[in-house]
Amino acid sequence: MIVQRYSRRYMRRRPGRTMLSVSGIAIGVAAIFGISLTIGTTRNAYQRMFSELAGRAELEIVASGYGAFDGDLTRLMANAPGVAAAVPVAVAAAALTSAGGWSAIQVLGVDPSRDGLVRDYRFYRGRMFTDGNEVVIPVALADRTGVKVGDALGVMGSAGSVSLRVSGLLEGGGAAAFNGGAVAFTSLAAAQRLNGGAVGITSIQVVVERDARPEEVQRSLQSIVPAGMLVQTPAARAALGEAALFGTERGLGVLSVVSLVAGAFVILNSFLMGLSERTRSFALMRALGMTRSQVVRMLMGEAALVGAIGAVVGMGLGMALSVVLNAIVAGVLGAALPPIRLTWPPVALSVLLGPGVAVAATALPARRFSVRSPLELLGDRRAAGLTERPSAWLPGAGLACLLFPILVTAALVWNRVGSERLVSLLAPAMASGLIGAALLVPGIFAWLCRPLERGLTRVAGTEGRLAIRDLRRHRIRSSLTIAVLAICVVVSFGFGNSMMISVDDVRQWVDHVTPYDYFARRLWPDVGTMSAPTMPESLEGVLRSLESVDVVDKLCWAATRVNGVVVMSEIGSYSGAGPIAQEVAEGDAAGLYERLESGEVALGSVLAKKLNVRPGQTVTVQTRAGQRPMRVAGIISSYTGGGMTLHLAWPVGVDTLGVSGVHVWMLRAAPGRRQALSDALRRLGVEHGFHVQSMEQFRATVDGAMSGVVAALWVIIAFVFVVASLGTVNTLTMNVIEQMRQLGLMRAVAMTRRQVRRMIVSAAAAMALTSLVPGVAMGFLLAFAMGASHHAVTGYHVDMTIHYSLLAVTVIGAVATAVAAALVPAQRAASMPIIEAIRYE
Amino acid sequence: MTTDPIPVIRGSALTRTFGDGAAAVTAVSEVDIEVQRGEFVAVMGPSGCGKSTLLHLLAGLDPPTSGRVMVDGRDLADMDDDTLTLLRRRRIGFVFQAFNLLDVLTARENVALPLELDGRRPADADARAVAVLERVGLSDRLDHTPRDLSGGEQQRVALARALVMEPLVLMADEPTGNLDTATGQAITDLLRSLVDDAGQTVLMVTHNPRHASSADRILHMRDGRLVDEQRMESPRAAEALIAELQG
Amino acid sequence: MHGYELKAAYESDLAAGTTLNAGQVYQTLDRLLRDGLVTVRVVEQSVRPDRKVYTITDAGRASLAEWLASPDASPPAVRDEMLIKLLVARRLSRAGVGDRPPAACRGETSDGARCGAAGGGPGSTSSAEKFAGPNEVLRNERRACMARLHEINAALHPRQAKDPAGGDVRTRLLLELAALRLEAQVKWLDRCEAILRGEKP
Ligand SMILES: Nc1ncnc2c1ncn2[C@@H]1O[C@H](COP(=O)(O)OP(=O)(O)OP(=O)(O)O)[C@@H](O)[C@H]1O
Ligand SMILES: [Mg+2]
Repeated sequence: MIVQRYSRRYMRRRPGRTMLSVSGIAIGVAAIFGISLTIGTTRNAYQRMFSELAGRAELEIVASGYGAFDGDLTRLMANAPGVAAAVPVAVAAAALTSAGGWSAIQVLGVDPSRDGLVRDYRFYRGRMFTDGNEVVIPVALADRTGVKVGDALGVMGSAGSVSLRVSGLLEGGGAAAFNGGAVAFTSLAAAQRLNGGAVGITSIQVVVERDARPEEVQRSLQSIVPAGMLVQTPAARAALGEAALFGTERGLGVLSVVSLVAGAFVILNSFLMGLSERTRSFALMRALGMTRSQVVRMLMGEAALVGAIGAVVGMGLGMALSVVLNAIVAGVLGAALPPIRLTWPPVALSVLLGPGVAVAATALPARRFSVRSPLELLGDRRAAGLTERPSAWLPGAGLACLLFPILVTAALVWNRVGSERLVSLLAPAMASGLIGAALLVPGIFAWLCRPLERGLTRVAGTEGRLAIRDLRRHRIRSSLTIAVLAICVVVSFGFGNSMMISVDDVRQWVDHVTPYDYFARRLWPDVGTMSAPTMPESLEGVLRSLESVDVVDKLCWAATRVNGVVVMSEIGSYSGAGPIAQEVAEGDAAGLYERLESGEVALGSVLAKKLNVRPGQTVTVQTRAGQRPMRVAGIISSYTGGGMTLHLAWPVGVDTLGVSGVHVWMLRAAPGRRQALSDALRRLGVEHGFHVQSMEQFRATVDGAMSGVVAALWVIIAFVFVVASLGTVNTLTMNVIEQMRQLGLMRAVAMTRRQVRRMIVSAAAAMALTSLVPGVAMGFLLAFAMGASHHAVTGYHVDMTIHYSLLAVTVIGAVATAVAAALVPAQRAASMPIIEAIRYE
Repeated sequence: MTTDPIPVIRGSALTRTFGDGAAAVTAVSEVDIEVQRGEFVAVMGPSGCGKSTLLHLLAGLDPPTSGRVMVDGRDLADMDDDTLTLLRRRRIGFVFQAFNLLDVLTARENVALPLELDGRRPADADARAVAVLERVGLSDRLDHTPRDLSGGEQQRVALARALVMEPLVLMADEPTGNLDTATGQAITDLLRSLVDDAGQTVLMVTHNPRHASSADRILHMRDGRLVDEQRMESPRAAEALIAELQG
Repeated sequence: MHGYELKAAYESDLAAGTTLNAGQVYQTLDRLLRDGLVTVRVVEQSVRPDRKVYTITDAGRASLAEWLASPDASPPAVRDEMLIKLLVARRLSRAGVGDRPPAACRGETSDGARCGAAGGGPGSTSSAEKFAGPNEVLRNERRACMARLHEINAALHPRQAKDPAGGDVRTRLLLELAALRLEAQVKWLDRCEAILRGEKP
């Protein structure tokens, strides 16, 4: 009771210190919470999207590439054992053509008489559609587009533009929530019409009888469906989107661990200060009968409290972070992600990690502190050295900790072990590396003391020497602050560098697509569904007939499976020096097109890595005619679909996957005819319903997404620097408070306020300079490791370039942060009245 | 003065050396000391002669380099840290010269702390603390923090805290060292009355001859050794003393 | 006020338990009269003999005021007997005839028998052929002072006293004076010890 009160009042008396501890934990938790929330939301988004669409259906039957198939199968399924209901659905990817522009929409063709068995339709206004000329949309979509019941809705499908009358508005939730609410329901026939008159449906949704087990029904249905058909759970479709996320998750995971380690150091630092400041109080409590375990419990209690508060604050910050990250991820993936939804796992993780990390960071010092005898603590003039003498084992332990990331990086470079497992080791390895670097800091500091002292004496005179002496007197405190600064440097330089490399890489990839001048498309497909309205192949003749055109190529995407893994297949005709030849990571680039034309395939590098397939080997591709072995002609590095791609030549794709229609036309103008081509295309676009995007616009879009990533990076770096500056403020303030008397004496003797200020600022600068040594070294290691893991994940090499501008910014940032942070304690010391300072106890 | 067969405190051949080699300082050397139940013993000696060190040894705050300390017949050398801590908590009340109080806690919280550490219910602990504070004459200063108390009041709170566990022996290391004559005398008088009224055993270190003279027995230390012991005789009638003083 | 009243007031208040002889009183009054500090007036009484009633003059008032206001910071007699004793002991010990080492005291550790009982004078312990050395002189004096202090404390705070002897202000002032003088004496003894110890080697 009293003990808790003591802790609480102490924390309140030192609000700055407490705030620092809390913010240390909060930052770690915020990173973990925000990042896992973002990843979870994105992952969930895909899964939920499909589950919501499926309503009560536990299973669905789809063609393996999610293409169309004969609707007659529905009756067979409805009568199968264990099936309570089976309803057909025909999905048409379309664009909503309102005055404000085109937006993606999924048009679901359903059988209104039977669909109620699977989905609930709760009408806000109006009624169900009665024929193929009517449509039902969510009320939110209606509000967004300004449509009312009875109005006409312009929809552009693969077959062109049609106008449907809105017969009813659905309340939110359920089926209306599918695809972020961008959904419309109409008759099967109308959807098929939108899809270009293709007969057939895209899925059969199956509700299992109440006493039947879904897994068994799935198995029995699988045995009766025709070849090329799959029985799966609705959520299985999310695999495609999830695969695309893997690379992003990797970077964010490392970042969150780094933040947590930084947080641990911050709290350790402020905790140790609290200990040394309260030495006498603890001595007293020990003398009057507090046992060692009571001391430990009390200290742990304080740490846990700070951790808990930190966790709560961190979750708040994390929420904000995840909103930002969500927007960035959405921008990178080109998909509309649902808003962040709070889920339990990240909350549980944060609630455990906050107090957990706080307690873990303080456990060792608390224990060591508690075993000291009360007298030792009481005579703190003699015991003071104890908290401030680093143990002899630090350098050894530091080097041992450093070994882990070095080994992982080396293994990643040579790529001996299963790469995914290695990549998952990256985050703990980096944590270990940071701890190792921090453990080495006292040694580095001792080693740098002399040159620093000499340098500072030259710059700041005696004050510089006094500053170093102060730092040396509190070696542990100084070292921890240096460690926190060093982590900033690592994040800023190491992490920043590898992010910049990735961004550069994406930009470079975009540049490789340059053989074309224009793209013509209705909508870009999003990563989650890979669906978008297509354009008829017949348009090719029209485009080719333009006199300003030089090259016309086409692209189309469809989902399929390779060796059982859901992938995105990219079917293209590459008459020009098409994009993929530039990106061949393995295999013969020169003969690639011929091979593809002859029926071989190329794999995205991530997929190849995952399947461990090399050129010349054979993979099994799920075609509309069942499994089919195909030879791998080459490996392509591509950002499309997160590298989980299958590349096919156009005729082969049409033949095997049954794709029809073109998602994107890629065009190159005849020499000097760019403007003419642009004009001609725009005219055609109005007539045939497509948009024209120039290469520059495309690049700008990608650049925009990448700028978001870079901006987020800077925000995170700034965030970490803020914490480091708080840590510096804390350390220097503590030094000032402890030396108040001495400072008072110095002022009384001769020192001017300016000299006092200069002394404290010199100390800050010295810490920042020292932090650069381990910081930059670890930064290099991190950048290398991230680069190597990039290779391990994506299967292609990214040049390891050092962004010296970033290094410069980091160095300046670290010194500037520390110096700026020193101004507060410097001011405090300088403005202290001399007499009061001398009397300070 | 009752004479108990087992002394409350017994130190035999106590030696405490700090440091080693050329820098070694023997703060306490071959000291034998016994304190009986209900006795008021004062230790005097010049600064640096080892008074504090001796007291620390006897209170189990510091282990002797050689020799043994028995508290209530139990040898401290046989105890692990927790047992020793419990002994300190329950059997020995200790008052330092200064900085006796936790400055974020109020007077009553400071006094109740040992009780709570011992697992007493907070309400009981508080009630006891208030009662003891009343005994040292601080019933109107219960909720003040040390910052708001005078030096003498702070020492009285410290005394209350040392007494709250009803210790076998109260040890005080220059409890009046930081106080002016009158305030210091008041603290000493308080100790004296504890001995007289409650039979409390007190072992006190002091520089001040007047404060020391309140004790029943005075030990003089020089250079880590006990060099003289003076047992006070029962005082004469006050009238005789006054007559003598007036010469 | 007349002579007898003055005598009574002095005896009761300023120096209780002492008596002042009448001659001394009148002698003093005559001197005051001569210096013009008081005036005298004879009062006839019916039964008793006539009385001289003395009244303070303005000059007398001024003189009293001056006396009260002037401090008395003159040091106590430096010709202290203890000092002489100490110096003699030192001289003797230097001459080799009076140096009973303090270690001799420490040897005898059995309770109560240590270094002689309280108040034991010089020569009451062993080494009859030698005189007490300076340390022993100091110790004995310290013991005596402490014993006296103990008594003063007891007088000021008797064990079960509702009304301590110090209850009357005059006695308390007296006891405090004695206690502080003794305290000073002990402190001086400490200083002596330190100084003598310093010149030893
Ligand atoms: N932890 C220690 N390390 C080294 N020397 C010590 C330690 N504690 C005490 N000493 C030395 O032992 C001697 C006795 O110290 P102690 O504090 O017991 O003296 P004291 O009699 O209490 O003095 P004071 O009256 O000034 O408090 C001194 O010389 C002191 O310097
Ligand atoms: Mg001491």
